[in-house]
Amino acid sequence: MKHYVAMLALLSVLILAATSTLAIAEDSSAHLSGSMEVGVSGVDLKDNPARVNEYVNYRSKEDGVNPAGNLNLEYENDGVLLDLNGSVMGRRDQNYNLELDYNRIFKLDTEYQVFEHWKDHDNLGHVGATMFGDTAGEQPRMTTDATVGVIQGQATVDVAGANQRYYQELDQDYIITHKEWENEADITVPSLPNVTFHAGYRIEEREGLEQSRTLNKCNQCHLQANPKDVDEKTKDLTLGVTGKFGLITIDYEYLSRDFDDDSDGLSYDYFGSGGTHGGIPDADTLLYTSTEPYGQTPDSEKDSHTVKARLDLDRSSSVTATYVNADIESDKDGDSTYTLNKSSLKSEFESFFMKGATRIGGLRLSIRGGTYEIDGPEYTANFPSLADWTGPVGPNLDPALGYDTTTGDVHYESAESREVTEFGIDGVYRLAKGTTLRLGYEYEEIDRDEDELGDTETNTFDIAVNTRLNKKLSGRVSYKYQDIDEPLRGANTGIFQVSNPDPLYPGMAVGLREDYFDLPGQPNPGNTATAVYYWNSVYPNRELETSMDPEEVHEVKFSSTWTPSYNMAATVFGRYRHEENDPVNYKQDTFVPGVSFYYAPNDKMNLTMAYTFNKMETENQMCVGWYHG
Amino acid sequence: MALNGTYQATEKLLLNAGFTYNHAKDSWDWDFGDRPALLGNGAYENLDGYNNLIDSYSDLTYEQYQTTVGGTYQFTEALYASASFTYDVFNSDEEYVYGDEDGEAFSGYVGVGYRF
Repeated sequence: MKHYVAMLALLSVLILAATSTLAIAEDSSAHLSGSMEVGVSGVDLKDNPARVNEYVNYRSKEDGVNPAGNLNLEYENDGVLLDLNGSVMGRRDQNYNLELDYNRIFKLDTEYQVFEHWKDHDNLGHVGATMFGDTAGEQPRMTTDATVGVIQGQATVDVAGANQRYYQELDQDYIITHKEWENEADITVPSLPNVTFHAGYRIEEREGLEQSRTLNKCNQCHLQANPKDVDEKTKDLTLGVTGKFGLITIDYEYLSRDFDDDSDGLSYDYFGSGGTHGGIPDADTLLYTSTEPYGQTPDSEKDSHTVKARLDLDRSSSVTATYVNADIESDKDGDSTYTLNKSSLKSEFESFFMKGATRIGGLRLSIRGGTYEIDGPEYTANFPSLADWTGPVGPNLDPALGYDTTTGDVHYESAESREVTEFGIDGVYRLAKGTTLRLGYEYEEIDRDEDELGDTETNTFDIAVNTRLNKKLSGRVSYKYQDIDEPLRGANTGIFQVSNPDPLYPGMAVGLREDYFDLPGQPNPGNTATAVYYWNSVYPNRELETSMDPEEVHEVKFSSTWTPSYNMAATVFGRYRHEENDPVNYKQDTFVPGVSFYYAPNDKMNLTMAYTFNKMETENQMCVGWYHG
Repeated sequence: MALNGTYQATEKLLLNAGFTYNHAKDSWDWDFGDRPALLGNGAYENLDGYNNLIDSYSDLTYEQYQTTVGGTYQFTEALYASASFTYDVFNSDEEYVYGDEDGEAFSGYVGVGYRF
């Protein structure tokens, strides 16, 4: 109830401000216009509201009515312009915006909004989750009907308790409330009219409940979901200045961003495996067998400096340059299973880009290029369990590759660390009156610090024709081709250890399981190690490319607009995109045709219609991992 | 697909109406039945046909309808009343992944305003 009182109080203040301003306006030559509206909004929901009311309209889950109202106010007097808009349709469905301009010396734009969003709620039933062995944890756990069938034979499992917690989790409503307050101010000192100072402040909050999932070794069976109480806040402070000095415009902005996560921590009892491989018992498969936190986002800070310069040589020629330097730091600690050699992880981003544009006769030409570098964190994690290693140091356990089985140290480099170079050129040539031809080329090279992830090179070619055949008919056709060398996603992550002829599909191969601890008759028999971990049995055997990014892309787009009269217009458009990656037998086709239509049969009626069809077909090979242990 | 229109019924009454329909369908063709038999291990066999449920879990289809009608009546040049009513429907054919997502929502607003 207190929320409604606060909401009504706020609306009253806005109305009071509006009526007071109205009284002032009557006493002067000031211009005042706007509207005030009071009313009631209401909602009646049937069955599940999570999708039908996903971006909450008035109320999230309970039927009822809310006091509501709107205020629009525009006031102008002697160089002062005030524009105020407010809308309250429910306790968590609000929007306010205020713009103030004082003789172009001081400008303020402030906006506040509140809205709710229903989040996904995975019931995990499709996983057939089994939580065998998780008898000590007090957290809710996921089980399914299928699971009950599996674990009934295990005397140590309390099926009734597991199911009770499963249904408790199913009853949760996952709704996040977003609140954002954004302010921007500009100051231009009259004695320095070519320089404008900028300042901004933004606070974004996410509060509520969302589902947080985690896995315990093999995710097909040991998967769990818990409700997570979310309380996140992001604060941005920006300071800047823009100066115009003859042909040159220079802009500088400093950004400081703080992210704080005060959400309740979740923890999970990670348990060991009861399986064996080659007669050797599995150890703590993930190096976790204790209660550990999960689903947490570390606090972080970001500082960035952006400098832009633009030189306007004449009406059609300009050169711009942009430099950005940003530092990001996040808190990071180990837990009882590992320690880090540093308490915070730092990344640095640095970029420099230039663009030039000019006109040569009937040709408009622009050239752009630049480079950016991401220097991600490098750190060492120490796993005491890794130092238990008693087997031989094979090619996949070479300390030079990051495994130190004496100290338990593992060295990590960020997958984000890279140097990227980009270059592009565009030309637009006027073929005839109302018709232009555009040709474009773009090159991108991504050089990743982590060699295992490879380097990606992309060449993009564009051609487009724009034409206006007459006053009633216009159109555009374009074609794009991309050639991508080493597209990244899951490079060298596929596990395929032994190839044997596939008896079902001649010419293809089938993989059989082989641990690093090899069985007799396999390539490395006789291993006498006493423990099997992911890091020594799974990770070293990842060798196949599993990318689903394309190596070739073809895309055709067209659109045409027909305007037979001032009160009628029709547009037909379409897009076809073909992607393929032959080495991994990946292919995807996308078709998106559509039409839109506008008609105003008389001055009292307006009609609009739009239809879009979207079809995507994907073909790719899949390998579903079957774990048992 | 979206249809929208406005109609000035009388000098004082402006009506508006809109209808939006969205249909989405996914499917995945895959026959998994022959593969586990290769290993000859009971733990991986396709007992009870569970493996072939994997692709049916991706047979997700849903439809959304949204119908809105509203209007503004001008009592005087300054005083007016506005009202809107929206009926939303979400129908999902299958309950995999997120359970039964079917739902309906009736929402409305009635207000009195003053322009100045």
